[in-house]
Amino acid sequence: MRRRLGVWVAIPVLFVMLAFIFVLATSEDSGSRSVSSPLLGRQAPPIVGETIAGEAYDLAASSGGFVIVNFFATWCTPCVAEHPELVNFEQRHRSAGDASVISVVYDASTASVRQFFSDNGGEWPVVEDPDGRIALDYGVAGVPESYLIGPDGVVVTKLIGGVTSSGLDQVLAEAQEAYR
Amino acid sequence: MNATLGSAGVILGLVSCAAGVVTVFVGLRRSRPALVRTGRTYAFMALAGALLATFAMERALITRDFSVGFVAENGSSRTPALFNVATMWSALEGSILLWGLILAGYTALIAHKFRHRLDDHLVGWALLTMLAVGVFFFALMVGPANPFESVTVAPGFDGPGPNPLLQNHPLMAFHPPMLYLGYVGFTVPFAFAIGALVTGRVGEGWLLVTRRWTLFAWGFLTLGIVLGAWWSYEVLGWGGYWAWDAVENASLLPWLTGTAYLHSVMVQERRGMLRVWNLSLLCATFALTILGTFLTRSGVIDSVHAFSESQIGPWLLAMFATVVLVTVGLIGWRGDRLRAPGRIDSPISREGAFLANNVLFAAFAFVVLLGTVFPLIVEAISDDRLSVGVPYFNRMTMPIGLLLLFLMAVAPVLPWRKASEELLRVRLFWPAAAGVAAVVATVVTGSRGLAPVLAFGLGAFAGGAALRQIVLATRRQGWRGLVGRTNGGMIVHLGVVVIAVAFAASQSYVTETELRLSPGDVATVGGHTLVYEGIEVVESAEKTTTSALVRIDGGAVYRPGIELFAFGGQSIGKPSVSTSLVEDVYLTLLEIPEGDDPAVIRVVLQPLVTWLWIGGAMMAIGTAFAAFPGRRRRPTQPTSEFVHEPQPDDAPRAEVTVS
Amino acid sequence: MSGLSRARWPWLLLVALLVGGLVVAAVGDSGPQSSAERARGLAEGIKCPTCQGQSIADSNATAARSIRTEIARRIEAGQTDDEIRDYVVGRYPDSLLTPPKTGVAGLVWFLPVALFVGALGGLVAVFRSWRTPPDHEVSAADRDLVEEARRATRP
Repeated sequence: MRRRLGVWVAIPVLFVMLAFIFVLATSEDSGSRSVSSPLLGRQAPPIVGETIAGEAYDLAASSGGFVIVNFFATWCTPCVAEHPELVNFEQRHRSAGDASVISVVYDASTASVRQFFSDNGGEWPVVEDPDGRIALDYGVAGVPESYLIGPDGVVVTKLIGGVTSSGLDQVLAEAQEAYR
Repeated sequence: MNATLGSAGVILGLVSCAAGVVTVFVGLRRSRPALVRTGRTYAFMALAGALLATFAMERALITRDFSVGFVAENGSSRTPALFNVATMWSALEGSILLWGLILAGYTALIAHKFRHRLDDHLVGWALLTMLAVGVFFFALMVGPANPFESVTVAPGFDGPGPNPLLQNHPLMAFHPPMLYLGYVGFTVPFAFAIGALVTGRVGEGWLLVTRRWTLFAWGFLTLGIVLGAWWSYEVLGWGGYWAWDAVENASLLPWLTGTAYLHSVMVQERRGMLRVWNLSLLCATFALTILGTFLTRSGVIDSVHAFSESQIGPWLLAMFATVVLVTVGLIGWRGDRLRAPGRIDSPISREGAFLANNVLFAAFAFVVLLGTVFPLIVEAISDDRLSVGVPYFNRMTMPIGLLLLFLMAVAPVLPWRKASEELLRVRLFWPAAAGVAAVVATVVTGSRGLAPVLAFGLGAFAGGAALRQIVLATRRQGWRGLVGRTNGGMIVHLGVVVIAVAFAASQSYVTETELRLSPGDVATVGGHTLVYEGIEVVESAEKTTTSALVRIDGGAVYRPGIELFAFGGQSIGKPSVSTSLVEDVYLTLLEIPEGDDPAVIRVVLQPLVTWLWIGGAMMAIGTAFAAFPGRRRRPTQPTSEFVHEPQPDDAPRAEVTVS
Repeated sequence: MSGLSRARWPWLLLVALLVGGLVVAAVGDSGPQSSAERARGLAEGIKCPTCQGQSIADSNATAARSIRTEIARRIEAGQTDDEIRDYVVGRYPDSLLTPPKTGVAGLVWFLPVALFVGALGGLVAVFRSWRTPPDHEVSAADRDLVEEARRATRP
């Protein structure tokens, strides 16, 4: 048995290495994993603060219907890219009356945000979050992230990355279906 | 033109390596030495190809030739000249080109140095192995990691430039080449290990001939790792230098097994033992370089060092699998025939110490590897996601580090074969006294915490033992007491002790705080007075730098700032550090204050950080001294042989001064 | 073994000083932690959600800073370390940097220790096998051979 020690050591080592290689080969790319939120199905954390227009805002006191809460920053390229889509979505659904949009500022200065909205349009409450409390409560890891909140204040969906107007329509339609 | 030139170079490299592999293989199997010797020509041709490709790439970068795909993605007219050259290795495809260049260089060097011994099958197989590895890397450049793809760009196109973090500091120019000289350098002893395994001849000192190559590779890798830590500290802005990040671990793993090898090969040299273990260590070191490259470039693990994603992952994994299969197969097949019949007489001996050294380094490497890949394994088994971070690594490696410090203290005074208690008592007294003095001194001056104080004590113990060796050697031999393997090794040990002590101090005694300061405010942090004097804005073509002016202790003004890059709108923090031998004051500006808003400045105080770099330099110097040739002797002669009066084969007396 | 010979007392002194120093170092470190230490300890164990691979203690990203501020606020409010960790994990799942010691994840703590102990055991076994001299029976043929050689070399 001692003579064949080499083989007896080599075989288990080989087995472990092959298993290891198998694990590496079947691992998903870390960047493409979607983040599920522990908030789904729970009451939305409060959003209370001041908008860039200087008015007070409270999510709980909003007028019902679905709300898209969009975390964004002016220096974030996908946020800038998705902005026209949000404008389009908000305008259509404001007239239909079933969904509204609010933005929460993530790590950008108020002046630059004001300038941005004045240049690019968008007339909805833009809430400041100077300490990052709101972002922390929602578990925002990066921007852009958007949350769909139902009329009962429950978080329905979390979207990561830039959104499109039609994509939002679809997500909204599914939620409306579920609430019927 | 550059793209064609570069592609031609890459193809030349690939074809030469492939032709070389085939020719040498046929020559070895059919015992036709002439064919094996033509392998040399192919090695030189491969080097020519690599040089051509590198020349084409650098030319394209310097002239901002955006018709080359790599330059279009990474170059820019706004990048300063030095960084343009370094841009080659700042992204994936170029770094593979650098690897190919260095590999071709080593292969040609081997072919040249061993040209008179190419008739020996072992050398032939070694050359074949190096050419085969060359085939792989040139194939990568032809396939998934092609830096010379031709693109057409609109006139007036300007590239984005390398990642702004990589433009910050001249260290960026040196860190990757040093690292690669080390990484790729380990291919050489690996190739000879394969040669030894295939031909079944391990007992003739071939590994000893390649010892100097291994030492050089190890030295460059050490430098590369220390430079990387220094760059991380100076540039990245988080106040630390080692995050147990996947890329850092990938460079550390072959370093650990390489260090183990450098010690256990001395047992082989002296006693003829551990031959199979040494071969396994060399193969493991090379396999780890491939695995490390896979882990960092395939995207399977989160890392601070983000290389862009590419298709290169499966290729690297396949190469790793091949290397594992070939080496485990060879060792399993040959292992029994190669084992030496010797024995180690006593665990309290230098052989025993080196064995313990190897066990500890193997454990260290295992912990680092396990911690790095564990998230992947867990996800494969139970679909859970977890992270393994700094607390795990620190907690697990600390006892190993402390044990290694202890071993460093005891091993240099241990004689070969067997030690007596009296001998140890005599030799270790003053180092032990130094260790205890360190413990008492640090405790008396206020240090608390078992781990750091123990580290200080063991460090002084180990430092004392190393110093004792150096003093004895220089007393006997003058300046020659500083060079040569053992003495150079003691200097390296001193460097390690300095790093260990600095690491313990800077990890355990950190103070940090965030300050909100308006112009003119004075703050006191940990005994230092900081005066915030205002904001300074500097604009240049590519970036706007906003810095806070902070005067520390009434002395110099430091400028932690934020750089806003015009292209892409990225903002990068630029930390500012006040270094001294005692403590570093690390400043970062967290937000650009608007108007009269106060500036938010983060202050991190870390003691003894400078000593990390000093220790690294000592290690490099020690390695250079260790490589310095001693008095001419045959490589297979034991080092404890007297040089002045050659004795016939008396067993060398162990206790007397020779080490 | 003789008792306290003159050669030994310096060593005893060293051992006494060493033990004394280490005890002071250990005890001096074991009191209740200050808020700053608690905050840093917690922060070092939580992953920064925005950056990859850094803890929030080291990261200057917005998310990291806001979590650090929140941790400081909760320590002031008197929450325990576990409560604070639960809150953060409730917002950012899998953000703990230290894997738990139980279950599959506990392997990462257990395996290295087990393998190290195993390696030590293996070494002990190997050393022991080296120490026992090989049993050779001296055979009659061997003795004859030696006798013959001795006779041949006798002057």
